[in-house]
Amino acid sequence: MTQSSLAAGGQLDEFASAQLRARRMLRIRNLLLGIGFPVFLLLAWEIAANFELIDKRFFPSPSTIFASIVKFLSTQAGQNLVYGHMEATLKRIGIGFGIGATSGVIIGVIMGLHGPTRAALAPTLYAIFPMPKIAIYPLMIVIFGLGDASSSALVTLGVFFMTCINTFSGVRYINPIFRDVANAFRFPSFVRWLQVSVPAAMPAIITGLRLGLGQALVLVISAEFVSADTGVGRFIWDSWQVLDIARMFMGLAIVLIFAGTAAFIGNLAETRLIPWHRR
Amino acid sequence: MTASNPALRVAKLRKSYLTQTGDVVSAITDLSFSLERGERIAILGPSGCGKSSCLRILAGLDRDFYGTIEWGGEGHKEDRTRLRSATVFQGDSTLPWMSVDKNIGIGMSGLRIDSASMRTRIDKYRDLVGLRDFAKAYPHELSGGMRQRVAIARALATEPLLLLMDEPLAALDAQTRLVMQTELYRIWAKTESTIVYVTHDIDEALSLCDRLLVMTARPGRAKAFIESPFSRDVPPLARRRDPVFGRMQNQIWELVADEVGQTLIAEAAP
Repeated sequence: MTQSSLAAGGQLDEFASAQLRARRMLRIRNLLLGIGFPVFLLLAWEIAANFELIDKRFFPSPSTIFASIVKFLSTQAGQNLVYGHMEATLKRIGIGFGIGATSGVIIGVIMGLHGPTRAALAPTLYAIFPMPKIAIYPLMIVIFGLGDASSSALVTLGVFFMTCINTFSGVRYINPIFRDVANAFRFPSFVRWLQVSVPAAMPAIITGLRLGLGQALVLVISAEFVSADTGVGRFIWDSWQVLDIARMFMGLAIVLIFAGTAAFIGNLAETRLIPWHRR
Repeated sequence: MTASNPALRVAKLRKSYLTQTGDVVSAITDLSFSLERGERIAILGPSGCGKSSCLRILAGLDRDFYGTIEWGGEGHKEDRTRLRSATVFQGDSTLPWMSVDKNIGIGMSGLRIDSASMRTRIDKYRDLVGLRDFAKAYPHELSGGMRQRVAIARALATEPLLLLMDEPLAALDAQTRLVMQTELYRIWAKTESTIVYVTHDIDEALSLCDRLLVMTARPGRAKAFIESPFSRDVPPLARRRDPVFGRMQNQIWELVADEVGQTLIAEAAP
């Protein structure tokens, strides 16, 4: 509010503009530091590799890796191979995250609002939650067979627990004043749920979705390591087994890109869906 | 105001709480009072005297009490275009994900009115509290005083039989509080609601209300009823200038101080 009225007045006094400049400088500095550190790491790696300080067979220099990635991707076959693996992984994440997040949010909201459901489900949910989900993977294979279904099911489970527990506690522990307002003004139930409880819990729900997406990535790659013919995890594992280190790093880079995209989507959802929520 | 037309009659109200350790703490004992239609009463008392408990009961937020609460004007019971009671809370009670207009509108979600008259009421009460230019603003873009105005407009828009205010200005700074007192006086003049105004501020009670109910220390009951010496058309600042104001202030303070002292003694005892 203050900022826009200053700007609208068109008369920033010197103090204000100095402050704005200082703030901008700080932002630029932090951005440069944030970019600078990984660049520094890559440079150090490059130098170490070139001077044979590390074993080039396992740690080829970043520039060699980059060159071989470019070469690999310049062929149609190479492109098809990589895109195929990416597609397989994204499909598993998409199905798992879609089902897991939807059911997690719905059941979390019901648990937050409905005492008996909460009493029935919460102990089981909290008991299973800490178990590493990858440990259930053999069971998933027994139930769903080898292939896409079992890895999607594993992702679904991981995402479900993350979103369900976060949504549940978000709804359960909303600011009591909102409940008081709903009661004092005799809101109808559907208004109470959709326009008070869910938006009030939205910051926690988004956190759950973000954590769930991270979890999905971890689980899908792990599952692909263990049993899959396709997927980025399989790609990384195969590359390692034939000691094609450059290709392995390409797989890792793809995972990084997925994670970065997930974080970006999370930030976007945060600014769009909960603009009032300051972090 | 005729005595035969009470808007609300509270008789022998009792309220106790169960503590974590299972002890029973009595918050209100034997509180009785009645309100004329359109009357503005302030409930004054030391902290912990049960005035907020009383307000929560009247607001329908607490159904766990003994005693009777009779709502006057039975004809209004079927009137689904007004709420029986609407509350302005002490802290910020705006919903941060809704614009000012939506915040005011959602207060009417339990009423049976068509969207056109809802729109009319939103415009009317938003303008009345002086937020005409902020219809689409979100609470986080407003100051504390403005957010409290939104809460006031939300309550007024339901055109309640009983308007409950729980220290609505307590969270504001001293200057904003004075401005808001004058604002409340102006706004109240445009409603016909009966008003229960809970406060610990004697000046505020004298500046705004027709009658003061002074409560005893916990467990609370009515200690004294004091008629305001001011007629309704005297605005807060004029009341403050009147020498009678100071005398009343002292008189009431002595009543309250007695109770505050007892609260402190009670709290000091193990």
